[in-house]
Amino acid sequence: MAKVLMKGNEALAEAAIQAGCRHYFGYPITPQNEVTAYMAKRMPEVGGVFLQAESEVSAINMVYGAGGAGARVMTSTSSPGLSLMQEGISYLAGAQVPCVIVNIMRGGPGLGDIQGAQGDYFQSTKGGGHGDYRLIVLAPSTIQEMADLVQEAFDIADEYRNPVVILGDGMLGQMMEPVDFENIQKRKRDIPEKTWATTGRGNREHRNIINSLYIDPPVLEKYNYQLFEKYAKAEKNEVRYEMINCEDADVILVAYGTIARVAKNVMNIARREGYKVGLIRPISLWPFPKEPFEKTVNTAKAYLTVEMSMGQMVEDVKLAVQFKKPVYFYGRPGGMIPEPSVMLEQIRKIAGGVK
Amino acid sequence: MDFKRLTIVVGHYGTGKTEVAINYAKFIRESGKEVEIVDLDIVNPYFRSREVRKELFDKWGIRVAGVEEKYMNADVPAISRNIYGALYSKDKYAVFDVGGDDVGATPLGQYRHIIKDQDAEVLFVVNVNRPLTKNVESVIEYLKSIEEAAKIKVTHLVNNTHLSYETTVEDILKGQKVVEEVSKITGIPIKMVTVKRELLNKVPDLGYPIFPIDLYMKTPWDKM
Repeated sequence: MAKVLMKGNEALAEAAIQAGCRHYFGYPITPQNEVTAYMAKRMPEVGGVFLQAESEVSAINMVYGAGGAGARVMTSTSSPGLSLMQEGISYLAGAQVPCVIVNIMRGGPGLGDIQGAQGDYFQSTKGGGHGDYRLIVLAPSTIQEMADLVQEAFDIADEYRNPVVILGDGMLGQMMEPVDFENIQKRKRDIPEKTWATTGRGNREHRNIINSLYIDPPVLEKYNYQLFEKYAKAEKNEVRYEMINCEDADVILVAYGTIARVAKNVMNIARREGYKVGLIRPISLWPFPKEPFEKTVNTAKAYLTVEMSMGQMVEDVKLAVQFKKPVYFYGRPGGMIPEPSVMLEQIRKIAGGVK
Repeated sequence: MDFKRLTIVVGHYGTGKTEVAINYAKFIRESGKEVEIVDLDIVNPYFRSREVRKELFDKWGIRVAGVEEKYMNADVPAISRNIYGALYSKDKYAVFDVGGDDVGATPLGQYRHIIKDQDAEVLFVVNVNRPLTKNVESVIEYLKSIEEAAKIKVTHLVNNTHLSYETTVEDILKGQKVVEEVSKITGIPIKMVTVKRELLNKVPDLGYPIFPIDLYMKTPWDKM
C-alpha cells in the first residue's frame, strides 16, 4: 500500500488498530470526533470492540476494565473531556494499567472553544489527577509522527504498565497529510507478558487483582517507591526530542507539536536574515528532555519558548536551563496561533542586533 | 467549460470539496458572473470556506453565505437563512460547498424542492488517495449514500485525486482510471480533472477538461 491521505484523527485511529488495539471507548467531543467515528466504522471490521460511553467518566473506567484484563485499549478526547477523566487516570496509574489516552487539545479554560490549543501541558505532564504518579506524554508534530507514536505508545504502555498520553491539538487532528503505514518507525522492545491481567484464575495459585487501594501506609509508601523506580527507568529510556541547527545557534527556539512547525519556518527565515537560530522540539513532554539544553546551554545566548498557551512548558525549559541563560516566552491562548512576525521580532531583539 | 447557475459540490469526507468549490466559484466569477459560495459544511470543524471569506470577498467580490460571522466557530449544526438569497436568485450564481459523506450531505436534502426545478449541476468529488474511497466499488458506494442522504442526483464526476504537498502526476492518473471506470458503470459523465497549478504542464491530455487548483485551506506554517 502506498501512502494515503488522512486527517490526523483518522491516522490516530488507524495506527491504533494496526498496533493491535481492539478495544476503544470514548465519548464525542470536537475537535477529535473523527477518531471516534473512524473507530466505530473500523473496529467491527477487525473484530474489535467499539463502545460509545455515556460520558468521559464512563469511558475511562471502561478503559480501566479492558486494560486490567490485558487488552490493548485506547480512548480519545479533547481538553474538557480529559478533565472529566482525571480521576480514572489516577486510578489507572495507581493500579498500573497500560492504556493509550489521546488528547486533541482545544482552547480553554472551561468549555473554551474548538480551535487547537496547548493549554493542557500542565494537566498531562504534572498529574491532572491526585497522588504521586506520572504519565508518559508524547507530542507529535506531523500526521506521520502521530501514526508512529501511537504504535510506540502501546508498546511503552505495556512495557511500563502505565498509561501513555498522545498530546496533540485540534490543528493536528483536523489537518490532512500523507501517511505511510507500512514503514512505521518504532523501537524494538522487550514487552513482558501480562501475567498480572485479570483473565480468569486458570491454573494460577492466586487470583489476579487490579487495584490501587493500599490501606496500610507503610505498604502504600513502598508501592509508591516501586512506581517511582519505574518512572526513573522511563526518564532514562523514553526521552525523545528533535534538535535542528543548534550547534552554532545564539537563540534557540523551543516548541512542541503544531507550533513547532511554525517555529521551524521562523528559524529558517531568521537564518536567511543572518541570525543564528536553532530549534529544540521536545517530543516526549514527560519525561521532559533535559539533554538538548545541557548540550546547548554553554553556547546559546538565550532560549525562546513558543506555545499555544500562556506559558506552561516554559517552566520545564527554565528548570532544564537552570537559570544559566535567559529563557523568554511568547504564546497565545484561546486557540490563536502565535504570530511568526512576533517570533521574528523577539529573535531580533534577543539577538540584540548581533548577527 | 460550461456551468449552471447552481453548482453543488459533494463527496466523501476529506476529498477536497472546499478547494474545488472555491476554485470553481472563482472560475465562474472570472467569466463575469456574480457568484456566491454557500458553506453548508456542518460536520467539519476546521478548514471550511468561511475561513477565507475575507480573502474571497476582497480579491474577487465572492461572498460566503451559510453562516453568520459571530457564529463562525460555533460547534453547532446551524445554517443561516441568508442562503435563500442564492437559492432563489434569478441572476446570481452560487456554488454549494457541502459537508462530507452522507452525514454532511443531509442538510442539503431540505432544499431539494427549491433545487429540483433549477437545473443544478451536482459535482461528486473523488480522491482515491483517501483510504475509504480507494477503488471503484467504494467510490460508488459513497456516491449512492450521498445521493440518498441529500435527496439529489449527482450529474458529474470530478477527479480530484491528490496527496497534499506530495501530489504527483501518477496520483492524478491513478484517480483518473478509477473515475473513468465509475463513469462507465454509473453512466455519470466526468466534468473535469483538477490539477494543482504547479503540475499543469506535466499532465498529459486526458480527454477531459483540466481544471487548475490554487489552495486556500492552509495550515499556519503554510501561510508563512
